[in-house]
Amino acid sequence: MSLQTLTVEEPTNILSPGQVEMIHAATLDILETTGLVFEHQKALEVLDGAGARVDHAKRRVHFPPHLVEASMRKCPSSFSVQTRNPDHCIRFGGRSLHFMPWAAMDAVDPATGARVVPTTDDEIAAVRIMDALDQIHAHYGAYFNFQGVHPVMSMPVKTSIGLRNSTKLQAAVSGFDWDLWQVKMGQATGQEMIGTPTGSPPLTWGEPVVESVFRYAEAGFPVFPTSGQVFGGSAPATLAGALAVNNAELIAILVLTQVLNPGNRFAASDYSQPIGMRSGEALLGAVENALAGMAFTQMWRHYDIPCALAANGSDSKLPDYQCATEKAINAVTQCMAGPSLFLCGGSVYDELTWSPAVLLMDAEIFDMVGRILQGIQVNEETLAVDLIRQVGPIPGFYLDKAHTRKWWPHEQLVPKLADKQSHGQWEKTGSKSMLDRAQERVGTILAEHEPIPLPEDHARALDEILEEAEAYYVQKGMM
Amino acid sequence: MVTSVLESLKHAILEYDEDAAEDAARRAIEEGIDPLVAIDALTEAIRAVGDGFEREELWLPDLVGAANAMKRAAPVIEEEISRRGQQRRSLGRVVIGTVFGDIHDIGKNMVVTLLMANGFEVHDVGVNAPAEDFVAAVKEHRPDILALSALMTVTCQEQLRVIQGLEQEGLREGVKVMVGGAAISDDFAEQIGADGYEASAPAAVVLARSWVGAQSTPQGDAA
Repeated sequence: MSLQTLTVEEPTNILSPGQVEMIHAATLDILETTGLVFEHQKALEVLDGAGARVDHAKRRVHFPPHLVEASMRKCPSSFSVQTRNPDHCIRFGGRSLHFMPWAAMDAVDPATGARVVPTTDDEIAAVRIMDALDQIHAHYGAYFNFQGVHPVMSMPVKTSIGLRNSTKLQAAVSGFDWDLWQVKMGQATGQEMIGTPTGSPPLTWGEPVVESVFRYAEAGFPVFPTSGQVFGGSAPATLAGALAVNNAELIAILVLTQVLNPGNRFAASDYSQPIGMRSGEALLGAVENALAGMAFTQMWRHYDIPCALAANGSDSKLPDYQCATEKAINAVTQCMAGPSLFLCGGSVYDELTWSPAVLLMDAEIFDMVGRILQGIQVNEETLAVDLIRQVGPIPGFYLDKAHTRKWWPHEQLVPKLADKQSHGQWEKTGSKSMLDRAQERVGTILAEHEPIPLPEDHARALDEILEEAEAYYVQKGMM
Repeated sequence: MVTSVLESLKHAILEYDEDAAEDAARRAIEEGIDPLVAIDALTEAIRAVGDGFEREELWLPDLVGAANAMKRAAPVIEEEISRRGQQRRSLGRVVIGTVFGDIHDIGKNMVVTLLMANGFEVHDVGVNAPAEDFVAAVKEHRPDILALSALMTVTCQEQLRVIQGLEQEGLREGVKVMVGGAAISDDFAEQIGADGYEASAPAAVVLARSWVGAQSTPQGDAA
């Protein structure tokens, strides 16, 4: 089954053209004057050779504007990413919008908020649900941490589960050489993966993460770097300054990627949020994320390079009013700005807890976003002036008209989980909450959905890569 | 002018003025003030900031500003304590830092500030610190407690490497290991072999106090 693809016909702008130019000028200034630290010797050499000004002693790289602009021109403005099921291939760029759930450290009991260390069976179930939902275009599994699996093997095991139980696009995570095994697994199963190197803001890219960029570029996999800044902590408290430094951090990786492999597929990914000034935690449910994400998207539309928005979660510990409000406000506003990929779904408390039932409820938000983006059709038939003349005042009635039968399914979204019954009917059917219905549907999907199986030789290849990874970490004394 | 210079020292901490704090500390030493008295003045000031934070009158930027000012003043005074051969009155010694791959220091700084406010001697190895740096700091300072911070889900695994490093060097038995960070849970702490985890800075201080045998209500705890 092909996936639903949304189109943002008229992206919303939040910055004036003058503000866009000011932020871009600040970005270029940061890149050239302040520069960034690359804790990676080969990257320093490669960037030096490409025309950057490199202080090798301080590992500081200064990017002249001409190098930045030439590198940006090499980035494709749209590109496809291949999956083993051709129906699940994604084309980024243009005006298309795709959804990708989050992953989190632990599972959560949605009724109590209690954190539970998930099992690999929990991961299999979560991946199968993501494979089944036609609102979901890509994923990187559900959990980072599994009972009985050594922490350093968690990511290779997770990727293996993802590839066995889903044909949708998956993301690879940098660090601890995980990207090494994830690239191998993608290549062994005929499935490209999007690389997601994460920075160490402010203005620093660590050695393992930069190494992963080399591996992704060598494999020709798309690179979706993320800074991971927090306003007031690792970035200025002001949204404008944070946006400029965020852009600089991502453009530095853009330049490296294009020097290593000109034309390599690239999308800038925003994961910016304020710091909680009491807790010190990154606030993924903050309303400021909506503003920052919209402005970020506008900047990268200006650059004509695809972008992804990832700072869209909730700070609530339960799937409650706060959780839904924070997610919905961020989803609606940011998707209207026109990103290529919107990361949200499944998580409850930031990137720490995850629930399949919550993913189903989040999918309802995606459906509502889709309806809003569909907009209002205005033409002779939808204006219906002839019909209005025919029906006239009371006792005129529209429910029995052919026009209604034809048009209401186009105009009105029928939610799968939200309750739209009368109060009496709701009581007669068990007074269930949306969460109750979502949990029931989890069971139905798991009983009914069967992913396209991985060919046996591919499955064996994954087993061999897992064995190789384990031997590698044992040899390095990491397990 | 003992009162005046100590008041200047406290005032500098309460105004988050790093230069003034270091300057006041140097003047205190030059004027011959007992460095143990000067350290008590510093602790009193940082405790006032910790209390203000707990009463929700002050915010993280205040806490971090005061801690930074104290970090500039404390080494000057500690050097004089050492020169005089005195012993600093300390509840216990803590080595703390943010693990490799993670440069987040906000949570760590909250814990540092509240530990100092409670009379702990704190050695901060900073952020993005490799496992070898933690092991070296444990060898050098022989702390009662090693506190490891990691904010990001992918870097909390690095805490495991530090614990493995302690084991390899035969240092694990002599130190209690506390882990913290947004991505950590009790289960995860147990999984990697840490001795304890707490979800907030004040709770981490309560745990630290219990480990060194101090059970009373900590300073900086509104409860």
